[in-house]
Amino acid sequence: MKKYLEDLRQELIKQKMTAKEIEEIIADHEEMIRTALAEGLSVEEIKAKFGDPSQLAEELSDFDSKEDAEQEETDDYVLWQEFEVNDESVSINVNLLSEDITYQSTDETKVKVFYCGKRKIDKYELSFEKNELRLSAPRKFGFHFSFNNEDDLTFLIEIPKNVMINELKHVAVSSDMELKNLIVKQMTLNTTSGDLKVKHASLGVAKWHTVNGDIEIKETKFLSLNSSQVNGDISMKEVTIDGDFKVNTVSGDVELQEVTCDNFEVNTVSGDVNGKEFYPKMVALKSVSGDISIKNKEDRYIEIVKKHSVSGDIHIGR
Amino acid sequence: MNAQFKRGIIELCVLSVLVEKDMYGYLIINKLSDFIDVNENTIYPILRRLTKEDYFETYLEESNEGAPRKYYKMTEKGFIFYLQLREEWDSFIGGVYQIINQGGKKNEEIFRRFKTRINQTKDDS
Repeated sequence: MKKYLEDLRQELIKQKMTAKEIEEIIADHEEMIRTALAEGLSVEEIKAKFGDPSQLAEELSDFDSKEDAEQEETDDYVLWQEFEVNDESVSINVNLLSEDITYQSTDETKVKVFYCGKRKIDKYELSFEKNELRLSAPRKFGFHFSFNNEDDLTFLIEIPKNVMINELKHVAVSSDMELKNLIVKQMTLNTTSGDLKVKHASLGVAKWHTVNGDIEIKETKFLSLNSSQVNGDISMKEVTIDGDFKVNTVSGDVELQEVTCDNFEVNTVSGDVNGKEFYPKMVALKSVSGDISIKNKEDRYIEIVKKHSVSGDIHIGR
Repeated sequence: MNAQFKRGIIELCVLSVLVEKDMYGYLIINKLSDFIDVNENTIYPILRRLTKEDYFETYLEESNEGAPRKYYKMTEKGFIFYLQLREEWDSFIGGVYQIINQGGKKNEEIFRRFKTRINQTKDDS
């Protein structure tokens, strides 16, 4: 029974299902197998009755048509350190200044940290303890720390395919961040001018704060998303948000294409919101001079909870 | 059998057993696999999808094994969907039977007639 459930979990992770979905499906199967055992079925009989878990995971996935996003070539980087993972999940805590960073998945079983650039790497702190990966830029001189060598430094972190990221905490000043082909249960992002790019991922509960970094999300699932910007833009394509989607922006534009969510709450001063094939169940819109427009081909019911604008236009329809 | 086609039929079967009464997952699987060759890995995704589409609701109820079980209950929306699907199926399968039984119901008779026809074609050529 344990083996079947473990196999199933791995297969569900491969299909990039959200952590919540995986837990539900596993709980349902635990219950069904327990009942089968109580009825006196042998392990072999149960195997035959339940069938192949990989097929089950495929049937359950709505991601199956999507290919993994193109990965970064590790050849362009120097391997810095690698760590053995002895759990099904890890946490990541990253604190950077201006170094760009990519998070992606790997077929291998170790967490790997690569870098590229000429800056002195030994000034950086890197550790992996109790399944938590920590990477920090030198803090000695605080915010005004400057390098003699102006070369850019870029990091690449690889996480094994069958390992989930429990929590990803990313704090940076102007680092650009890219994330692809990973499952994250909880994600917090805090940057000033760093951009964020996500492709083909499952991000669970996400909370972002950027000042003027731009955000681009493709082929990704969320449980909920709370994003706040000052003048960074957001663009999303083929995104499913199981729960609520909150956006707070001063002058950043929001572009949404093929996006679904429960409750969409947007608060904008002068940023425009443009939705195409955007299907929230409910919307609460507030803008000062920003225009809000949602254009959908399909005539699905959208409940308007709140609609308020001083001088901007709000339009929901075809 | 064509996977898409089979899925549609099993969907109807799942709806048919839940129209009778609320059931837990394993019982639904047993009800179906008693009659047709089908695995859990086909039935469970259907249960989950129909629940997501609000055709079923779920609730937990204590069982005598200790841990509670998840029961599936058909909603009104599910019932309307079932009636629709059932009607489509009845008219479709009715038509299919008419076509396949056109030549009479006995296999032996059909085989005998086919044999004569085949032999005739051979003689002709």
